[in-house]
Amino acid sequence: MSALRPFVRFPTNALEFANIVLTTDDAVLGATPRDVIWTHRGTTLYRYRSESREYAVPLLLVFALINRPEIFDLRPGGSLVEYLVAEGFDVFLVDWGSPDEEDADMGLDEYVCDELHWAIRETLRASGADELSLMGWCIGATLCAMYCGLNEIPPNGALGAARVGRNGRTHGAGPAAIRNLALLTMPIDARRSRYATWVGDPEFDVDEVASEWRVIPGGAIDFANKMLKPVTNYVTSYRRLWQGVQDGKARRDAYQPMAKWVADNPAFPGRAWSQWIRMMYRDGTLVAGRARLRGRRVDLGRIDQNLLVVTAGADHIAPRPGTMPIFDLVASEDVTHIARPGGHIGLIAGSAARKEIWPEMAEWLAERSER
Amino acid sequence: MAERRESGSTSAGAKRESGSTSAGAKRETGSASGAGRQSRSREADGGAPQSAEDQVRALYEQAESSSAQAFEEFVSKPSFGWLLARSAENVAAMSRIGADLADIVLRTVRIAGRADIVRLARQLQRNEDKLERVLQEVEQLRDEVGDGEQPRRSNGGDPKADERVKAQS
Repeated sequence: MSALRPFVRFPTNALEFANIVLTTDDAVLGATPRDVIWTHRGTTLYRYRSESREYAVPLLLVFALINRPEIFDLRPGGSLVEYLVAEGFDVFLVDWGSPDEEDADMGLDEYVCDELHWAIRETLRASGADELSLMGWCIGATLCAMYCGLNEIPPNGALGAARVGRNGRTHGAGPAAIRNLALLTMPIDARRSRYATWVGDPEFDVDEVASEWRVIPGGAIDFANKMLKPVTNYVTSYRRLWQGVQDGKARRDAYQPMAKWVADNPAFPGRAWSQWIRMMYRDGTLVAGRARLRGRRVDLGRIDQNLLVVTAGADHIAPRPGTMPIFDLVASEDVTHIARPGGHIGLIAGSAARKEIWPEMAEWLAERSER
Repeated sequence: MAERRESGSTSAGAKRESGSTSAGAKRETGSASGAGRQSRSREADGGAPQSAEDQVRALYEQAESSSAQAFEEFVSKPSFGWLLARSAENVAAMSRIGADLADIVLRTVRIAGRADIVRLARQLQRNEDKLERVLQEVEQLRDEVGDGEQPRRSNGGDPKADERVKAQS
């Protein structure tokens, strides 16, 4: 009789499985209450509401250009933002928006020297603080490291370099305003990664693809990411869900938000993509200290902030060896490295993160966020 | 000074890494053959024998694990990279040709095409860039003139959020 049970339960299991997959889009991401502080082009700066801010130094979260930043605030009970707000931090988040063809001219220069710089400025203005903590994840972490690696932020056009007001407030922001820098699963030298095998071929005309497509479609980026581990991404995730349904252990509230987030890929502006491929996978200019943004050299040796680096052992997107050179480059006196098993996203956003890594990250920040 | 912090950070990192690597190895082996390994150990311990369902599941997972490894090796080859790169170039070129063609058709019937909308959007963005710079200059001047005045939003935002900032400071 027990041998027949799987067959008897198959129709109900199939219905449940299909229902979970088909209603994935109904999952609510980013549910923590927040206010819009500043907008420019597609970029939005949010501040999370809190009645119990304990730490004087605000925290600005920066995510990658290839996925939505809602991963920081995935679901109630499984949200890093919710956790940090409850711990007493004044949390801000920069959202790059969803670029389209009109944003094709957005390069890494614009993201670092304009959007991130101005988001930092507005964070300082809104919080009234002189310094902040910057926490980047994936490409977002690389952008944060680049920002701190500039001696000053080169202006675009007529606007002069950031100035300090007569009242002494550094609302102009700049790398000096970053007290703590947390870099989560960050690539800085990916020349030996699987991606590099794909895009490193000199015959692959990166500029032509960027110019033809103008913005690299999110679907293409998603396909490339999934092809790094094709069976795991296209088969195993569904098989695990099916198995969970069979065993009565499938957690809709955990599966759906992550599945929805993974499938939501904004386009990558062509110019930024082309610069990224060259800097990270072909020339390795960032790690060699030869990368330039608006003509200014990005020198990671200028990073002197309190530094937290988190790496994941099973990270196939930003493998640990591609992050390790940062330790030989920075000038920081206070360096902490949290090296754990886990994947690129799962380490920080997985179901175990709340118990395993968030407390450690919050503790590191708390110790360095008093006035 | 620099040496001290390097050794401190390295040792701390090494400690954590060594701990985590072993944990990682454990996890990896655990997930490699999954249920099959569990069932086998159950049998070895003299526990209940595997059910047919468990056996099928273990076999499937073993096959999936092997094929995952094989596919990962396949996509790591430069030839796959070449294939992917050429396909990307071709798809990008075709989508550009298609988009240009559609724009020509729309313009011929005097309807704004995608290219026209993009041009308009870029003009709006240029204006927004200039407005942002003016706002920053104004804020800078206000900070300099009104010493001690509380910071304000440059644009967007919820007035209540500002009130909360004021109350806190």
